[in-house]
Amino acid sequence: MKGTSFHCPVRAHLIMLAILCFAAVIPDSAQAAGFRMMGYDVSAIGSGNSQVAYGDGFGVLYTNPALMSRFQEKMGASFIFYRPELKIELGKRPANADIPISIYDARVGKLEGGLDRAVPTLETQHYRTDTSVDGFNPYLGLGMTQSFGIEGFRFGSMALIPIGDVANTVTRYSDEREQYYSNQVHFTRFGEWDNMISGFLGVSYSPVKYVSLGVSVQVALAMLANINIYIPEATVQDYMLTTSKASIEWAFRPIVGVQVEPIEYLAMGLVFRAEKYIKIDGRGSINMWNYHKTFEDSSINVTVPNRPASKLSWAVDYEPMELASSVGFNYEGFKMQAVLTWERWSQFLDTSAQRPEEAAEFRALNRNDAIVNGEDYKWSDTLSVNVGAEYKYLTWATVKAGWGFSPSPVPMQKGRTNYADNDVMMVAVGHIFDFEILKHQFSAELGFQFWYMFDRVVYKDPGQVRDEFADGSVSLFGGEVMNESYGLQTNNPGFPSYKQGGWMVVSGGSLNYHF
Amino acid sequence: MAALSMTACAVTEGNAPSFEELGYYKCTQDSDCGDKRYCNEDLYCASDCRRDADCYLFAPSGMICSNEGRCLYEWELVDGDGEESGEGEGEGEGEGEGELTDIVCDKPADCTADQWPEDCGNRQCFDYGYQYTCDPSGKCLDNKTVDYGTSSGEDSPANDYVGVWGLLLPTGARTSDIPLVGFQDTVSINHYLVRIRHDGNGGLIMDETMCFLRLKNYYEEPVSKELGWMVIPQNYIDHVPVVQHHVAAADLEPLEAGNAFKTDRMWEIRGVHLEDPLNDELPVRSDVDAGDDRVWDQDKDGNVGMTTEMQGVLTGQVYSDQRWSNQMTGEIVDADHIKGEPDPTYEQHAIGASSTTLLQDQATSMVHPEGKLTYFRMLRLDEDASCDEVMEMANEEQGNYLCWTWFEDDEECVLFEE
Repeated sequence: MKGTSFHCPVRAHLIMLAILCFAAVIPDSAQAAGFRMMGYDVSAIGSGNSQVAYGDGFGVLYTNPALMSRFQEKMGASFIFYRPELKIELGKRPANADIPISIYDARVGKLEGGLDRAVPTLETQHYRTDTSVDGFNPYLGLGMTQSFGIEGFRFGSMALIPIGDVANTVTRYSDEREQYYSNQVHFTRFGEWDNMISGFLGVSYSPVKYVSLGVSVQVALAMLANINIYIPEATVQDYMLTTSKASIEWAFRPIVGVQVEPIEYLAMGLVFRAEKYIKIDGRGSINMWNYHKTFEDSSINVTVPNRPASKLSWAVDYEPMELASSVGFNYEGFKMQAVLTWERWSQFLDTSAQRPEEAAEFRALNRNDAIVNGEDYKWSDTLSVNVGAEYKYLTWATVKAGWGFSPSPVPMQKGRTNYADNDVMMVAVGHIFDFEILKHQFSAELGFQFWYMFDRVVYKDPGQVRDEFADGSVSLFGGEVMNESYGLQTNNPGFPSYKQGGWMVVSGGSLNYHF
Repeated sequence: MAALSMTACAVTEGNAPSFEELGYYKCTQDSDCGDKRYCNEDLYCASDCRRDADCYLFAPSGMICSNEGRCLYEWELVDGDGEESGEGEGEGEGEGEGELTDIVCDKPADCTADQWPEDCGNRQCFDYGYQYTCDPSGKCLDNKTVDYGTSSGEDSPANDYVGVWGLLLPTGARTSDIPLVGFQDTVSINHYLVRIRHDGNGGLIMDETMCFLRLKNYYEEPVSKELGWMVIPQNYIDHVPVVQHHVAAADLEPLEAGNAFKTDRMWEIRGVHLEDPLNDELPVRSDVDAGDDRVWDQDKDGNVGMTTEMQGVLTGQVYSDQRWSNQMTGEIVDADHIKGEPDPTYEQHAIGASSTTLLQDQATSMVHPEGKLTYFRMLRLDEDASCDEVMEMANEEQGNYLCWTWFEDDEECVLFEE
């Protein structure tokens, strides 16, 4: 076997492991979710992320780890970038939909739902604006497969490291509560990803010629954060003492695959990928000097220190449970495969750790408001299709192409939530150049994808959006009815409509050394 | 073909909501929408502001909040009388002598039901000037002249005092044992419309109608931001009765610069009926919880006692009873100006609140040790002066004798927006 005298691969695996450990100390995020659609290496990009029945890149650690035993041991580095050009244009609001400043004079209450009180539209921290997603996102990829001298066995590892911002995670609300923050509508599933390191470790074994098995894990982590704040002087709000405590737990996404080649010209693959998301639970507490509350459940007239605390919960980097099956053909240097992937989006958790059907429901402020049925907003399971083909037209040159279609799991967003998403389609091309230097075998590869998100215009149903200024509200002073409260007032950035769509390019090049 | 398929796959979900679906309050003119509201171009009620400061985000300077709740530049106001188009209340009505007005006041039966004197309805009429009194029909009667009583003689020094005066009475208080901040210093800024009349014995009676009461937090050191402050609703002010100070003939000196001015001590009880107003214990929260029926809803808002509003970090209503007294001692500045130092006493208890966090039974109040926060100034006004005029002078005229300054000898007034 070539390269068995080459000692660096073992050390290189240790380096890769170190990179993955580094990945573990910072929050993994939605970035991985982006490459799950594009492919984790240049080979997958050029094949339209279809490598389930056939494949020869490090990206098979995600698409089907059983394929690692089907290609020669190698190590390689790649440069990949993606650049989206996506836009969400917000519709013009009627003037009366704004929260007037007089809401400050209204009895807003403190009971359930009363604390998510709207701020006057004019005083939101950020004005309601369109969303543009157009950054250039470069990545460095490193990968390796190694047999350790065992026939039919492969150990593989891969890391994808962003160049520039290494860690950048943002959580958002999908409804009117986003008024307190960006006051925008955001893409949920495609295009608006954060920059994070992602990595895989896996093994593959082919006990007989016709069958190969593989298992890999996607590295993720769970983080627990506690923040304690002490405010010595409540009237001096720009001075406080803080301590924090963070603990990190490993989390893994197992991927199990099998590939069979019953005859020389035919291959089939089947892959199971578990659900994955990073759950972040935290707790924040505030202590203040000379701040007390009445001692509960006691007839004694005493007070005790009041230390308000709140629990925090987020879920980032959600990837659904997936089951992918593929059939491929191989004849005279021509390979083709088609993949059908079932994605269980019905269990989706947004970054606020809410399911869409939960987020859509709200406690109505007005007696006559319709009751929203959250099931209408539950995401659907989907079937995605990827097709890839390649042809080795010279002994040293192979051309590749691919196509993919991923339907949106997001139902009509006529209610409170604004999960911006739509069907996306992709076309891909790639090319491999094989060459030798000093009797060592190398390959260089190029890949390119073009993604298109179809336009989707969403109009809200006023009866399904939370009215944030209750009809017939009365003033704090005098109890006068506030006529401006009648009808729908909301700072929901998606009201009354928004239009989304755009495109994205993905490209990369790689250099591999074959042992 | 690709472009065609991309266009074909675009989707539109739902329909643009119509105004009818949105359910806004329809109107045809501003008056359909109530105070500080206007009828916008779409013919629905709207409100942009409550006070001039709210207009800052429309334009950093120069906009004011109109009576109809619009942020406008001054030049956008239609006429030059400082009001928007149309006549103000009472303008151009041309009432005849002794005619009834449309101003509503409490009938004698309403007064006695609340254990007040039969003429308590005068309180609502005096807001508009002391020429108004409450007719038994429940409407204010415009008498065209002010009743000053009968003089004890042509040479009585009281003759020079009688008239209508404005009174500024700021009183500093310190409330201790407040959570978060430890203690809070507050200045109560009282503005009264005062009628000085003869008592028939050579002395004077000062009828004092409260025009406005504001509370302002006082800090000896600057703070980055106020955490909380108390607001006195207009409804509270409207239900404070006319109080009286007496100046005995023996204490009355001629109205000449440098002479002394001294009243008796006035006592006022709010939110509770006491058999002995000076000596009975003022009910506390536990008394009210135990069913003490002496407390009553003086401001008629459905809650016991008098209702004030807490704003800031803690918001809500506080219901309280109160006993306070005041005696004024000062000097004559000239025939139209009197100033001096009051000697107030306070006792107040929170007997309820819209939120338990606002109930601080441990809090106690005292007159603020910084004496210069507490003072009084009186200015003689025209006979037909009203509370509106007092407030206009206090709020808008820098240097006016009735505008409030932090300390007695400060020159710069703190003007309030209304």
